[in-house]
Amino acid sequence: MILLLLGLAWRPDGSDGLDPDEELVRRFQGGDKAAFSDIVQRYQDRVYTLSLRWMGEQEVAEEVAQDVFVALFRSLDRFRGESRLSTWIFRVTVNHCKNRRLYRRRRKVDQHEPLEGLRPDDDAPVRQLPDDGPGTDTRVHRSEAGRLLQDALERLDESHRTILVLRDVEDLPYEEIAEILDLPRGTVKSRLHRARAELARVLSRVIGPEDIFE
Amino acid sequence: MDTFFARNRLSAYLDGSLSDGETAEVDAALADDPELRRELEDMRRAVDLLRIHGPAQAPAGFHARVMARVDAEPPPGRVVSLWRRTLGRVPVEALALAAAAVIVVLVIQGRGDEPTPAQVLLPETKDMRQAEVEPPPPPVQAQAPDAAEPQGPTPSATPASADGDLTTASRTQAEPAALPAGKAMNKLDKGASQDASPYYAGWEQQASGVGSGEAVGNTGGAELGQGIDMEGPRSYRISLADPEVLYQLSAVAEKAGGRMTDAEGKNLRPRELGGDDAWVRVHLVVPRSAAALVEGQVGAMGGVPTPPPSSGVLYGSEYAVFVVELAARP
Repeated sequence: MILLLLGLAWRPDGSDGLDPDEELVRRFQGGDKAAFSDIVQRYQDRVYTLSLRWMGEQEVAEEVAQDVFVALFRSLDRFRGESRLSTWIFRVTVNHCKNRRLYRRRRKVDQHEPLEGLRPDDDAPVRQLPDDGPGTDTRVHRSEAGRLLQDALERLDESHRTILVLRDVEDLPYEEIAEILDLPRGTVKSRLHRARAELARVLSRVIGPEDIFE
Repeated sequence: MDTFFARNRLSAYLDGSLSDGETAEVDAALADDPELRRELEDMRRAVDLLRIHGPAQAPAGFHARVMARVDAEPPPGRVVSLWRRTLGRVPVEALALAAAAVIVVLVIQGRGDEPTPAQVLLPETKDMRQAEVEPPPPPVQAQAPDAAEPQGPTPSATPASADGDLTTASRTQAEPAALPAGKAMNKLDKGASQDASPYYAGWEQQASGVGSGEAVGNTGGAELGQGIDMEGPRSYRISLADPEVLYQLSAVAEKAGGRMTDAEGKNLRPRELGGDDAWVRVHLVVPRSAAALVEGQVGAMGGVPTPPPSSGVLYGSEYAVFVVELAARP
């Protein structure tokens, strides 16, 4: 029996069975500040991405992402592991984005030039992207597609934008999105459907299938 | 399959989260409806765009900048860090306002606690007739602030009867102003060994400046009519008092729910003030709620506010004390 228990507890990699995030949290809560550096390393791109797709501007997105990590640092010692670390981090990020959006909206600093022909009620002709193909100027082309995507996202309702980024950019499962947004799973699915349909409708007016490059 | 049903499942169809049966139904609807196929392609393209162009990389140096900010943070979980973060979010103006409010409260409390050296003697709630039979508990004299000040007589050193019967007490014959401090004490001591008056305490008069020959400033004139916010006894002097003044004062105190006492808290029985009564001192101990009424009546009787004595019996905060010095009309 004792051997059986020992066998269950033993792991060939020498770890104690915690996933990497749990291990990092445990180390941090034990006073290892380097663990937080690892957490930043693991999540910086994802936090920055979510912030960028929310805020639209790189500088603002970086500010928000930095604020998120500082906030995490301040409260990580009280993290009790009732949810996954990633869930908690994304939830904090969403809240920071909402707050920053609200702040900027109140100060009317979210001024940007609308993309012509993007509004549903516009009769402007469909915008044509340069059809140079990926071989000639892929970077510019990709950048343009990314900008169109960003403009389209900003035309969406905030709740639609959030759920699209969490699902299709961050590639999170329904269950985790439901936990982050504090919504039932069914609501996540239906809202995601509406958000995708709306984004497709907006994008179909400005880009064609040839504009999406890996 | 119902097109409406299939259209509402396109997103889940793309994700592969439909059951096999539902997937087959959507497949069938797509085969029959070119518009539905177009919608599906538009949605697939949008999702592809998100997946391909959505992710971004944090800018170069982002990690270092975050860690630099984190390094400037106090260690998490420490009380000081929690305070700093909490107060850091509060506007400076709000902090200044809160600090000012705290100071005001402390000052007010401090003023109310000034006579802390004294112990508190709760006044008698029985009527004066009963008090004549049952002597009240011995009062506690407040300590004078200056240790060099001569100390007043202790209750045990005062031979006056417990009920403070004026008819049996001898009176001070001389004007206290004419007595130096030492002589005043000697006279008091002598009186105490013989027939000291319970109404008169030379040490108190000296401490309060009464009888020292100095002009007594009117410190309370402006306070009359403003109600009582007692921090200690209020002192009044009635010169050329009516012979019936002690009866009047006793009646005022009784009507207010209080009593008339000597400096040691013993009940006094009123008597007629004679021409040789010089600066008899009595105390009116009344409920604080009636203090304004009493103050007005004392003032109507010719009472002039004077500096209060620096020592004496103290009562609970529910009571106001009026020290009244009387000089009879010749």
